[in-house]
Amino acid sequence: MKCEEFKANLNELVFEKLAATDKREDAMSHAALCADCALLLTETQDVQTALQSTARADIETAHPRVRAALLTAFAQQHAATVTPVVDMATHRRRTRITLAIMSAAAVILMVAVLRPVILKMTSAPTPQVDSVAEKTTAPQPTATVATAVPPTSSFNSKPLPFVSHAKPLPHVAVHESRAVATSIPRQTTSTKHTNEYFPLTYLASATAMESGTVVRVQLSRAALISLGVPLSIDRTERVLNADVIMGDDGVARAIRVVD
Amino acid sequence: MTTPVSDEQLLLSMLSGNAEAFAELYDRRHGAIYRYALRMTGSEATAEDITQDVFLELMRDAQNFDETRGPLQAYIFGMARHRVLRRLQTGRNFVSLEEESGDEVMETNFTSASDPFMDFQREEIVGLVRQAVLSLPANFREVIVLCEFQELNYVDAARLIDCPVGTIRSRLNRARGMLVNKLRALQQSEVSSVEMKQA
Repeated sequence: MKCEEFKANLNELVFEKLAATDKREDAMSHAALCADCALLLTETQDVQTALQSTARADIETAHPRVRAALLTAFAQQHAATVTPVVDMATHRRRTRITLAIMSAAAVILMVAVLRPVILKMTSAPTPQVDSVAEKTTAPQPTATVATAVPPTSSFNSKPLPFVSHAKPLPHVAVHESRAVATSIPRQTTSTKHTNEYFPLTYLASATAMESGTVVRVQLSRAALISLGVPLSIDRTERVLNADVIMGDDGVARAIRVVD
Repeated sequence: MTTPVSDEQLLLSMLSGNAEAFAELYDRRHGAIYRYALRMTGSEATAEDITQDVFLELMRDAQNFDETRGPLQAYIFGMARHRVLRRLQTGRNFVSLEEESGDEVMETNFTSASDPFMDFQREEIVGLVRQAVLSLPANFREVIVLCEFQELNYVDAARLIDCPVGTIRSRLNRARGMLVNKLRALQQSEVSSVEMKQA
């Protein structure tokens, strides 16, 4: 073994107990012959011992005043952040709103998922659909919306009869402002009393559509409120019929309550 | 036999306002943090500041701790390391261990009935080693403090410093080599100063 090799293996030899016995023996026999390497070995072993002694002597801790200060700070912080008491009425209201939001989200998701399937099924003209579907011929210049609204049924139970392919619309833009939303035509053909459409306010700029479909759904009052329909906050569990305008992209644009 | 409460359980309890849990966590972990900061900066005051800062932050932002990323001990060490490096970068708080607490420590901390001379000699060596470690470049000093004094294994040290294990190993090798040279120089200077006094 040469001095360079010895020096390269020195740390491993001293600190990590060089595993290979023959290599170790080589190093030791070299140290026995080379005075410089022997000195280096001794010094390195001394450093190892000194480091171990230093580690053992490392027992200092922070002054007790640090602990006292921290405990005081902890007490103060906790006194400042006492959890506010929530009364039961508030809790119930929050629960109701949360449930409403969740159910609305579920409905929207379901509509978005089922729409392509429904469109596929309705692409072949069926007499039933044709007979049920009505095209709005209202003289509004901006748009026409095709509807297929049977009087008594829900979207979930019988999806096919409620939906018809929409006739292409020139342009229907539903904006976030509710005032602008009134430009969407009223459904004059429905036998039931209907209200104004309300844009679904979570939509940003992607509200323009070439054509669309009106889908009759049943939603709880709570869900409708969460979608922005102005209803009083009582009997939120009651289910109402509602029309949803769906764009060809499957995204709901506007909603109205059918009383 | 009851199993000891883990750091993470103490943290949860602390979050719910249990001061005893916080005190227990502090008692358990502050020593290592303090000593790490002390060996890295060489200043007791800075080490105390860093220890206090770390536990104050833990108190404020304990919810940031993510158990899936490692144990609480490593998280706390990471906070301490961040502060130590920041202090070292500013360079204002680098105080020589010798300047701050030389003879005083020798007088107070090391008392033994067995062999006062041996104790004195050992303490002298410890003082020299600390001085030599403190004079190492920060990245080499850090691996010595973590792996030799704090006795972290290479993997934990690598995780803490956020570098490969091989880097830890090579830095340790170089740092030990530097220590050999520095201690040799320190011992020689001590011998020469004693000779000058005698002359």
